[in-house]
Amino acid sequence: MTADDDGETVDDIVVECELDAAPEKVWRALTVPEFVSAWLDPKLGDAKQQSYEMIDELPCSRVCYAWRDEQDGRESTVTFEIGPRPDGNTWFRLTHSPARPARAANCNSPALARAA
Amino acid sequence: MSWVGSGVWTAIAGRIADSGRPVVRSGDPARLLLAAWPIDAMATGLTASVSVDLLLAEQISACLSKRMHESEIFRALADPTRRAMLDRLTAGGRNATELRDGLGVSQPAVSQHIAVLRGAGLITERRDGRHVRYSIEPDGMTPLFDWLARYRAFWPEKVDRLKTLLKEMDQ
Repeated sequence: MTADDDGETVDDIVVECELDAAPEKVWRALTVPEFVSAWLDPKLGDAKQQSYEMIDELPCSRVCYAWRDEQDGRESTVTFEIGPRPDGNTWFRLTHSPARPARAANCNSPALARAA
Repeated sequence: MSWVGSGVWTAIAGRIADSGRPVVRSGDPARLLLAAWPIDAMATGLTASVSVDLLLAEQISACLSKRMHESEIFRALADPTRRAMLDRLTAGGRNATELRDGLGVSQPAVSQHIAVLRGAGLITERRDGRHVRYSIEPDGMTPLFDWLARYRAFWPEKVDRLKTLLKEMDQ
């Protein structure tokens, strides 16, 4: 969920689920480029249609990517949030907002400033 | 895995669909939950929470010639006054004075809001004597549906791959 200038919630695509792994492990899968690529990039032989760049992270809690559709250059914002569950598993939430990264309220860093 | 889309644009889209254009049902079990309409829900008769199926991809792709940046639409819809204006237009065309009536915003502000809505492709204008009449652009939400349809298909597969990866990774 993001908040717009008026502090109201605005809409995003959200996928929420529990992952059968410890938060630290999930965190690596969401932030270490090789791991991220392993699940997020197209399978071998498929055309790459999106590119992404990490723009903000709060260790073991939240990571934010500037997302770009290669086809038309559209930019959006993808945020992964995780947290520990009592059973040792990980609560996971993916939020994909059509808002451009520069205006993403989820990320407190100057968006894309580090992407140069 | 659950999909939750709370939302302004989806709610507006539903209302636009309700205002005359047929919505194709996807039949997909995944549904979008639409959060409460943030403005004057009682006055406009919108229920607090509704769920609708999404538009089918083919309906979407039929309209892609009018492509606009969904982020522009998103920006246009982020403002409560513009949402209120858009909501009024779902009931029928209005001129600027009628659009402004009761909103408590200045005339220049209304003009600016109209410009943003037009720029995002959400409304159209038509000269009507001395006035300009504004109406909803029925295909205005199409880029957002396109975007949404694409990523609704995209993310579940990726999350499945993430789960597979987690099984393969060392602790």
